[in-house]
Amino acid sequence: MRAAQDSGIPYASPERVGAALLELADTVGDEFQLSRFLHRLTAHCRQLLDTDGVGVMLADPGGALRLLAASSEDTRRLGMAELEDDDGPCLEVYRSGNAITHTGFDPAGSRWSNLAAPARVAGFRGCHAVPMRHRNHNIGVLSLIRRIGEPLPLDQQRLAQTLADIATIGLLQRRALSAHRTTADQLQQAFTSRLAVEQAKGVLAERHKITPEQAFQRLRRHARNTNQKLHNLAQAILDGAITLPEQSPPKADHTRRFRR
Amino acid sequence: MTELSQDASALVTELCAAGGTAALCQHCHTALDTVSGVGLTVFTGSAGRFVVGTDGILIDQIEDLQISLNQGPCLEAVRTCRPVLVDDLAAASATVRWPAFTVQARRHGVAAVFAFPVLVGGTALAVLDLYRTTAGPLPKDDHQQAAAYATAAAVLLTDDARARATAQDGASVPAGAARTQQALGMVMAQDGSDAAAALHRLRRHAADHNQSLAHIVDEILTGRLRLDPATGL
Repeated sequence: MRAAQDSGIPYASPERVGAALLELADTVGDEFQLSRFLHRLTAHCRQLLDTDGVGVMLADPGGALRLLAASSEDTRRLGMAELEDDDGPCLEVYRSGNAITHTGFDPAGSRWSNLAAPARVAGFRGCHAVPMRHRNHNIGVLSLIRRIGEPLPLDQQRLAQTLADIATIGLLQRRALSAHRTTADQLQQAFTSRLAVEQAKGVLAERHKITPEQAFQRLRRHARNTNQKLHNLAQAILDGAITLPEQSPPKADHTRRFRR
Repeated sequence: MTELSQDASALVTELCAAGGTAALCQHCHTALDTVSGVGLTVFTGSAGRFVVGTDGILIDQIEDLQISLNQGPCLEAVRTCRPVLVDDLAAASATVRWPAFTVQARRHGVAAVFAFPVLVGGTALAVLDLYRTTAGPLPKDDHQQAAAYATAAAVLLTDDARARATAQDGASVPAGAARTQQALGMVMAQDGSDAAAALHRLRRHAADHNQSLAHIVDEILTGRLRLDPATGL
């Protein structure tokens, strides 16, 4: 492995870098889509860094890495091979949390020879993989694949890590926002359920000439006997999809107690 | 939830001691004694409205107008997630925005409406409505207090929704709010109207007979009152 140096190649003007970072940081809009966001991340890497293929792996809720974006079919195949074998630079980066430069995707290479075949087909010689992590959140890996068997220049390594960092913070922000939204939806649902139950009590009270409290007992008993959720039954009654029988059915609890 | 301001945090403690969500509207009305009434309504989905509390004579009519006309400061506060403060319903800025609502609200004697969204995670779960029978801006202190009440409402309603997460009948709600919904169910079964129409009819009946909605709800629940399907009253 040769030591990396600064490239001195102006792939990335400050303006282009700035625009890319700004775009990756903006994940709060309603129109956010993960697939499009990751596609933009790979596109920025292709544009700003001396790389021939870009892959993004993110951890699923169980902590297993999944390949969610790849800039080409060759790149995708290489990533899938790594995940299938459960062995390769991305997995190593994900486990260790440290970036890796690998320059030997060839049969002679001692490490990750399992990837030699798919790499050779595509003409890939090496890769630079950086962790996507922020504080104690380790969410995935960004990998830059190269046809030249030389380390990515140092300045580009730093830029790659910056892009990964910003994308990570953006994704974490998005997750926090989604969690909030779920909470709001769940709260709203709790009130919707209660609304249906109270109205259904009134409907039954009127229909069967009983008090709302008696109506609630019947509602609860019928839900239990027919094994459905109380608020679903209430909604079905409001929709006119279900009517309860005139006489309340025999109490299941009594018979059970008798048999014991 | 974002960090609570000291005001809102103290308020939550105070309200919990006073009875939680059920006490909020009266508590808020007492604290902001220049306003004429306070209402708290949860928005459930696209069409559902859960009136959680009211205090003041005209508040039910104000809420009813906004819902039946589908316009007004409270709906705008929910949509924009920002407070909507209308100092003077007679001003051109208000009459242009809500032509029907401003005319009818003023006919009821309402001159100013201040609507504060109750935000949970960037979504307006409910709206805290204040109205006044005299025009003029909400004083700065009152504005801050009302905003603190809206924040406190977010905390209390969140607790209410979670309190019975394991029970199947949904959020915990004040008894009065539950009774209103039961009465709506009875009216719905009597003449086949939907919940929104039933609520509108109960409120109109209350207004026409100069009685509180709570009183009409009691009359319906005890069977002393049946609304006439023919006239809708």
